[in-house]
Amino acid sequence: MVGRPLPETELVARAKTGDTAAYEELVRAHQAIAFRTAYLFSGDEADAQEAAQDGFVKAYRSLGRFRTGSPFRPWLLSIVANEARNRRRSAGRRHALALRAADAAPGDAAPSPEAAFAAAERRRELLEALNRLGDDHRLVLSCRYLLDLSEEETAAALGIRRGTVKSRMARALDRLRTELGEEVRDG
Amino acid sequence: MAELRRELHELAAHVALPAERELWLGIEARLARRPARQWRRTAAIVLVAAATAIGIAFAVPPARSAILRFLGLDGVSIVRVDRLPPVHQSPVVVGQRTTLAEAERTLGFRPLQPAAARPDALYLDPQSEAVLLVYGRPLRLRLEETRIGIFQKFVSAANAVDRVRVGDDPGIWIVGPHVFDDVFGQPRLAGNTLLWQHGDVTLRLDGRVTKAQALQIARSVQ
Repeated sequence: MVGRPLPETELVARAKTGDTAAYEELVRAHQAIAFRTAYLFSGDEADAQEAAQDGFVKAYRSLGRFRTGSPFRPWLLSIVANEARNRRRSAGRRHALALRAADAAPGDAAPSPEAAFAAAERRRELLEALNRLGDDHRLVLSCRYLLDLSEEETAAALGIRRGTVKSRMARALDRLRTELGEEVRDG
Repeated sequence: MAELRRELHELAAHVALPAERELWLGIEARLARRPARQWRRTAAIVLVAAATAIGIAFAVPPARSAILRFLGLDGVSIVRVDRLPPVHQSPVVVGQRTTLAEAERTLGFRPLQPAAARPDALYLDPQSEAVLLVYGRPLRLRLEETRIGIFQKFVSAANAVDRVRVGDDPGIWIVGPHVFDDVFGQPRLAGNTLLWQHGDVTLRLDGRVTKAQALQIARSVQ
């Protein structure tokens, strides 16, 4: 492969004809988000890796049904999330999300040790509250904010409509506030 | 609420999500394999029906859904849900017209056939490595076969799901309209369906047949 990277639609078109080099490029472009999405849904690193790889394999085998010109990522994430969900259903376990170890230390940009400590404490509370939410609410917030997925991608991963993403987000934020012991108000 | 949203965005940088992994090598290895021999686990295929929207809510709270498991059909995932997912208008068949010889060449196994009748048409879906045998005009019966499979079925409380034997082979019989999902976002409506495993081939029979008829046809498949 020389020159500029091919646009995604071209890579998909080539992969459809059996060009695995083109598909490798697609995998490399999306493997990080696929793996993280799978991790959110399965709650286990080994399961997430399996789910992401199976998802990519299944996506490849189903490219014939993929509508040319559509964005690849939402379609891929719907497959990967489904794989991950199935693994979690069968395994019946999930590790709660945790803060990175480095977060115990004060942040670089913190104005003072006290402020850094308060900020770290707030993050801990927030994540614990998020972990306590039911799956629907936890996943919609995690997809949108932790993974920074678009609404379309979140809808695909969750297998719901975009409109449902919006309403579920609003309810999830309310619920999160309640978990945090804060009053729910508009704003 | 804007403040909370901002905090959640910032939280992302502090959450211990696992680092990116090299996935391609494992994927490449799987793509290079003859899936027929490696993926015994799963089942089926594209069943297709001219379907109208029957469901409303796709999202099913996991607590109220349950995966039904069947010995010998490990890869067949049947999920019992409160409400069936929505389905779309689907073509009656998926794939391209083919012949027995071409299907055998492509799939690496000779499609099994019921003894009583020759198919009116065969279709090959190279992507899912499945062959579809169609019987009757108008369509009465479909038989699909694959050695790999990627699919899920959604059944509601209204669908009976029975474990059956087709000769010595394990199988399941699903009564009534339910939803077949090939995992790629195009759920389809399916009618009475018999699904069974013969060696490393998973077969699925659906159409206007009773359980006794379906079992009789299935037992004659060779």
